Amino acid sequence: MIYSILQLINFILTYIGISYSQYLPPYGALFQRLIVDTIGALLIFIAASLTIVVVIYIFRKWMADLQQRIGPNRVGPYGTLQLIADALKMFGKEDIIPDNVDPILFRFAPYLVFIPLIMSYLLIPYGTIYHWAIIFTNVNVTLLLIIAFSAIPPIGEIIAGFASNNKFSLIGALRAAAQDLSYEIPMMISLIGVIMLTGSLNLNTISQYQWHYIPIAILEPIGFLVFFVAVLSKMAVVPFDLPESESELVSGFNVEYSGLRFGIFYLGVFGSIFFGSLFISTVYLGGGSDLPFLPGFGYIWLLIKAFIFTFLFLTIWVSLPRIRVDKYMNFGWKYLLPLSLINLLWTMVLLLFIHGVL
Amino acid sequence: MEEKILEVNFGPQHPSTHGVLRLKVKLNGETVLSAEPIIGYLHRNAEKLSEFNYYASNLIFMDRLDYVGNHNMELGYVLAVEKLAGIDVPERAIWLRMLFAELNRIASHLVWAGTMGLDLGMITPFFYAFRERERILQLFEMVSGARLTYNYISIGGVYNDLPNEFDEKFKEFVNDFPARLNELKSLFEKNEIFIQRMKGIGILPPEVAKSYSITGPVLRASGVNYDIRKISPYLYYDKVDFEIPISHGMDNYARFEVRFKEMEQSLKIAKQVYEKLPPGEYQNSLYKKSGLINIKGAGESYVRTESPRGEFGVYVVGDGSKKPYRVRIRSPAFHNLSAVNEMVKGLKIADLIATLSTLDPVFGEVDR
Amino acid sequence: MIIEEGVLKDGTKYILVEKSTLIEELNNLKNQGYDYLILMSAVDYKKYREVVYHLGSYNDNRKIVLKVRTEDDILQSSTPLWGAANWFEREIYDLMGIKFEGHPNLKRIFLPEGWHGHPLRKDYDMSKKQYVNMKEDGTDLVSFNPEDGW
Repeated sequence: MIYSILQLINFILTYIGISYSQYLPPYGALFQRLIVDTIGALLIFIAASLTIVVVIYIFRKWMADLQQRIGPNRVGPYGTLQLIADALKMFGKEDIIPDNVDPILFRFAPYLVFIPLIMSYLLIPYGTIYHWAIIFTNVNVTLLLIIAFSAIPPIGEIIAGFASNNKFSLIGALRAAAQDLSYEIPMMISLIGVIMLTGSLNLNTISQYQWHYIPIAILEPIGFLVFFVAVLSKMAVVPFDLPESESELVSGFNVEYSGLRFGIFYLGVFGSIFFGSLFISTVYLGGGSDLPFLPGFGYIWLLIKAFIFTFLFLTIWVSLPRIRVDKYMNFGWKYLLPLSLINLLWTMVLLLFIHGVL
Repeated sequence: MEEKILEVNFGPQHPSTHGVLRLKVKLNGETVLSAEPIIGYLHRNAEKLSEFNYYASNLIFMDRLDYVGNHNMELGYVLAVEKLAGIDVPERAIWLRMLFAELNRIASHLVWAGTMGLDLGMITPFFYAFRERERILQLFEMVSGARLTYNYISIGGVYNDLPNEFDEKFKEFVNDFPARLNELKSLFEKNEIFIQRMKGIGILPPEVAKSYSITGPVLRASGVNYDIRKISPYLYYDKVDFEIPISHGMDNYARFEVRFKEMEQSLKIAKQVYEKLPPGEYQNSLYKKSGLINIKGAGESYVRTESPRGEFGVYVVGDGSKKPYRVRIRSPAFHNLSAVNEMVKGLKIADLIATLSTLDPVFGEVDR
Repeated sequence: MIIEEGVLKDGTKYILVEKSTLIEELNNLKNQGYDYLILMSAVDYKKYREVVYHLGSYNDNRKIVLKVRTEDDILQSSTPLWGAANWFEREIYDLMGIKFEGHPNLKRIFLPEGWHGHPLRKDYDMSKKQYVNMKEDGTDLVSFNPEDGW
């Protein structure tokens, strides 16, 4: 039996004896569904925020280790409460809005960057605990939805850059536009290879496929590498942090933001790092699916794979310098795009081989 | 499509201009058309202030010029005043001055290495470089009691002798440093992105460099073999054995290589000087502490020294009284900076920042 | 024309030339191989100002000092000979008030644009304070009124 979390919440509510159907207006089933969905979404929002906080803590400690120092170690045992202290500080700051900015767009842009990211967290299958699958939705096209959601934050960055009425933000916004456009295309073409192999757009099916057969990273190594570089670029960390190059443009597109609004951009960066590692381990490494000889612990395997990728991304952040814009575009269009097309050809050959034609 | 020229101000407050520098940059998209430096934000007019103090009190101003390579600044002024007033310096003091000048050269180049990484987006080499610099600063603190403004070299000798703990710490530093320097260098050298961003960028031909009176590592990276320690040796540089690293690359990567090799050569000099230290007086006894007020000078003098940024010297004019008539400081970073416009035409913004960081300006010295 | 020759306290030879033949003499020296303008400074001797050129060579350790005196504070610019003279002459104009004819861009380099007076002169009035602020369009505003200050 497979229960989803939504059915679980419904089950708990009816078990406790809360029968609320008599208080509901007509179309009661719809309202019941709405309440259950809202609770699920709130849960995932809280869980995602807590995970982001944990990722930031890991980043600070790991970066400190690579730089031969200690990192936060005063607030709380081993510095664990440091992030709570930083968050409280950021909430208490004054909301400064410069005079000449566009009033609506300036306030609206951080949410455009942050909300699609949290919504994408809803779409990933988090594996199984015993015989319960932790999935929050039964939409059949989750991969397509994730790609669509990942196209919105760059628009938020561009809006933030333009609305700030500042030349440095403008340059940062233009770079964000260029970066997003160049590296989204190889990413999508390598995902087409995955879709062709597994035959569906549903992430749950993709990860089950990898449980039955072998992880797609082994079947399509070129696609895996192209996707890895493209995801690294989407997350806007060094070496690809062009929109926010700190030493050249003084924080690029978010130079005029302070306090809570800046905190939202900052959470967005770490949220996208963790989301990127979840995404790549689901699509290419079969995250969340059980091992044949050890059923019931899929969630733990997903977490292990995601954290390995997170550490990898953070190490790359700490050790490499920033790439220059024209070399970056050069690389994207002249190397990554042809490689992803070669990957497509290779997938077609593989498919013919699998179906016994070759 | 018409060309739109965007004029941006890389203002005085910026994370990567190494101090207070304002650059008026004309951009066409991402390409730099011209970059005009505007300086003067740290101008304290040490030259005018020096006319109202005794010769020895002016050391305070010289200290605060290049606040990363202080001993060399003090050395330039002190040598000029000693020529002017005819003061003799004991042997041990001369060797001690050389030791600290070379250690300060290493410390200054370490600051350059860390901040160069920061400008390119690498946050890790900064910590490695400053960890090494910490050991040098502890050595300085032992003799002079301060970590930034030492006020150690004084007219007639040095202010203090080496304490007993100096020996052990110095030997520890000298044994560990070569391996750590190689580690720091490998963080840059083995990085493909760094090489791509530095090779072929910021070309400075030797004729342009000579015309702009550029000296120091910037000139040596353009292929001109000119180092004051070899050409007109001051102190006892003709008695120690060292080489001058040159490179013919003329670009940012050449300057990077030259400075790292200079650090190795400075360590070699420091080791030899420490072995040759003779026992004796560290200060001319006429001018110890309160005797410093009695210095009188008449005439003009200028002595050239080699600071980490190039040729440094102080032109002192005395009229026979206890206070100087005119003190004129020749600062190398002032000239290195004036050639920025020639080097960055046609590059991108990221290259402008990288080039500025390899020129290594320190604004206490540029603005005096 | 060389008015005077001699040796300074630190052993360097110096020549004092007439103002009208300044560029000729500098050209002569440059042709003899002195291609490095080490330092250009100005000293205020109350009755006249003296501009001192220290010249050296990039090939060996020769050094020579050339001096020129001026009473009306106008000299010929040597920017065609050396590129470094550009910023040297701007600094001397800024701090000492000597104008150089033929300089492409003679404006103040350290002090803000509207500063009154030239600080390094011996007759500069140090009791008057000047206050600097920024106008609406970004240029500098210098005045003697403390209300205008930052």
